[in-house]
Amino acid sequence: MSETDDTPRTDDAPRRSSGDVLARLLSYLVAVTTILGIPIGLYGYYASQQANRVNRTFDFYKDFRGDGLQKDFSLLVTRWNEKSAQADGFLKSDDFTGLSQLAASLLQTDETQTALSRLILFFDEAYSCVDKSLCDNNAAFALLQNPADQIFSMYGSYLETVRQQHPNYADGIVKVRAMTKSWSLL
Amino acid sequence: MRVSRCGFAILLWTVSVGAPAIWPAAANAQETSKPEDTRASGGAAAESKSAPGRAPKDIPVVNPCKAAHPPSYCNVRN
Repeated sequence: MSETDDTPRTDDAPRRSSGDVLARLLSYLVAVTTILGIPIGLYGYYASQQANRVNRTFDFYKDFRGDGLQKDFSLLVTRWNEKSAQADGFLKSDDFTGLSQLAASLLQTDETQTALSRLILFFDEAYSCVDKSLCDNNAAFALLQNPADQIFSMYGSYLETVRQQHPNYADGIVKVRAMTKSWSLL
Repeated sequence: MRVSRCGFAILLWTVSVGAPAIWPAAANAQETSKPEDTRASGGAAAESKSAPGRAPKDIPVVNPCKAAHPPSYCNVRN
C-alpha cells in the first residue's frame, strides 16, 4: 500500500519542479518588465503631451505666417523701414524723444493701428497659451521670440507709453520677447 | 491551474512590454502625417517668404535695441 502511494510522487516530482522553474522565471520576467515598463510608459505619456504642446505652438506660428498677420507684420516693418534714415539719425544723436515721436507718427493711420492691434492680440493669445502650459515654451521661443523682439524694437517706445496708463497693454509681446529656453518635459 | 498562471503571466508580460512600445509608435504615426498638412497649408507662405522682395519687408533695417546706445524701453522685460 505504501509502495503504491510512493510511486506517483516520484513521477510527479520532476514535472512539478520544471513547472515551478518556468513559473518563477515568468514571474521574474513580469517583475522586470513592470519595473522597466512603468518609467517607459510614463516617458511615452509625457513625450506625447510635449508633442501636443509643440504642435499647438506651431499652429500659432502658422497663424502668424498666414496671410493676415504676415501682412500686418510686413506693413509695420515696411513703414518703419521707410523712415529708417530718420530713426538712424535719432539713434546716432541719442534723441530718444524724437525716436518715440517717429514711432507714434507711424502709428497714426488706421491701417497701422489695426495691424498693431491684431499683432498685440495674437501675441497675448500665444503667451497665454504658453503661460498655461498648453503650448511649449521652447517652441514659442524658437518661433515667435524674434518677431516679438522686432515689433518691440521698432514700436516699443509707443507701447511703453501706453503701458504706463494700461500696464497689461501688449503684455504678450513683452513676455514673448523676454522668453528664454527652459528644460521642461512635464 | 498552472496553465492559467502561465497564461496570465505571458499576457501580463505582453501587455507591459507591448503597451509602451505601441503607444509612442502610434503617437509618432499621427505626428508623421502632420508635416504633409503643414506643407499643404503653410507651404505657399514659406515659398513666398523666400521669394525675392519679400524677405526685406520682414526685417527692420534699423533696430534701435541693437544700437550702440539703445533706448531705455529696450530693457523692459516684464
